[in-house]
Amino acid sequence: MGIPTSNISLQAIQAEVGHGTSSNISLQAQSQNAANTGHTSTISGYSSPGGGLTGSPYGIGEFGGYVNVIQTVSNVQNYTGSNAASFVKVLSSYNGYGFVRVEYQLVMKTTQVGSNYVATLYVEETSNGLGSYNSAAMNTGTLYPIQTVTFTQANWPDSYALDHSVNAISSPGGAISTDTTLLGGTGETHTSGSNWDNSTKELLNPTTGTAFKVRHNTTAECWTGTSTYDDTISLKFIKSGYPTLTAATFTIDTEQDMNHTGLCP
Amino acid sequence: MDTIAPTSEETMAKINGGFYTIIWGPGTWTENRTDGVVKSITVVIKGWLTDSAPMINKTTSSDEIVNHVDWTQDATITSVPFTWYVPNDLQTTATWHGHQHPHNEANDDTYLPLMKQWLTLIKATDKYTEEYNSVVSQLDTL
Repeated sequence: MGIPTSNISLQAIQAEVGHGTSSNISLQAQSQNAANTGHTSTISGYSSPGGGLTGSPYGIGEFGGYVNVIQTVSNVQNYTGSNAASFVKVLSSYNGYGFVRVEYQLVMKTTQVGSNYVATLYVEETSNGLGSYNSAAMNTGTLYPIQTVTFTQANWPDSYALDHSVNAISSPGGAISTDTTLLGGTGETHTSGSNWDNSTKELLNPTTGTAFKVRHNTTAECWTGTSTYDDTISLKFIKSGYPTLTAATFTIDTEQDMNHTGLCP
Repeated sequence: MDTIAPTSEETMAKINGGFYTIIWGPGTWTENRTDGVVKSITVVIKGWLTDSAPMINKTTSSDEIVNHVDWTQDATITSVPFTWYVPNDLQTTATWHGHQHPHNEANDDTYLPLMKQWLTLIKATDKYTEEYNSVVSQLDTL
């Protein structure tokens, strides 16, 4: 697996890149169709003629040490719009100290379709917070697909990870605390366990499900305003000998609205 | 109880590093008034890396601790100010309480619902999106 750093043949390049047939091979066509576009040659002292791996001029040495990305049958985004999902919760009236919690789940499910294996990541509303998906209200406990990635069984990755970050936006400032916690989800055959950010999980053969939970807590005193959490999450796969495949990066936003009323003690 | 999903010894480089705290609204913006009436607002968005934001504790009247960002401090990244004009039907002479006690409840009852509408309208502008994205992209470089 992979292309050596010496005695590089066009046949070896075609076998790794996988473009076209093994006859009538052109270096240009293989370069332009190389999926691992971030590769740089590992040949000691080698200097690219310019244009990078996929651009002109096409240097055969640019393939030194090249390893193709994990091959997929298909990689499909299932949601429309800018966010995979949105959640909201309103504390319409409180006095003194207030608290709002939104929780949602991400669920990785593996299935078999024909001879292929399929990994689908879903988003799920919980009883804490109202969700919307593709501009329609979500039903608690129903799974809504975010990304569906299909592999041949031979190319089925070993493992996957969900890579998470969050921006917390408060408007206005005040005695308001925003807190995000990553917890083990529930209701599937497996739970992620807590603190799952970028934790590498085995990609289990069909049919299994693993639940991940995101919790956003806002606490405040005498505060009227809106706190927003913008989660950015990437779905990544790895297979031994291959570079990491980032199959998707998506955002989920959560809005928590609080309205203080009456005397501020 | 659900079974803990088996983990792998393989590792993947982390790619999403954006953990930011962003604050804007009254307290960071300037209300431009004529005869006491808010006519326009000069909006400023303040951003910090969450791990290094200036935090303070507030003990509430019910002895809860609210650990929050001291939004009055200088931000790591501050947006370029931009002006938003208040629609005629959303103008007021009421003022933000600034978290000074005691609150004037009658003033709050006028100001806060209008503020919520301003926040929504400002957030929907292209200028807000541009400046918000600029703050985030500058934080990304740190």
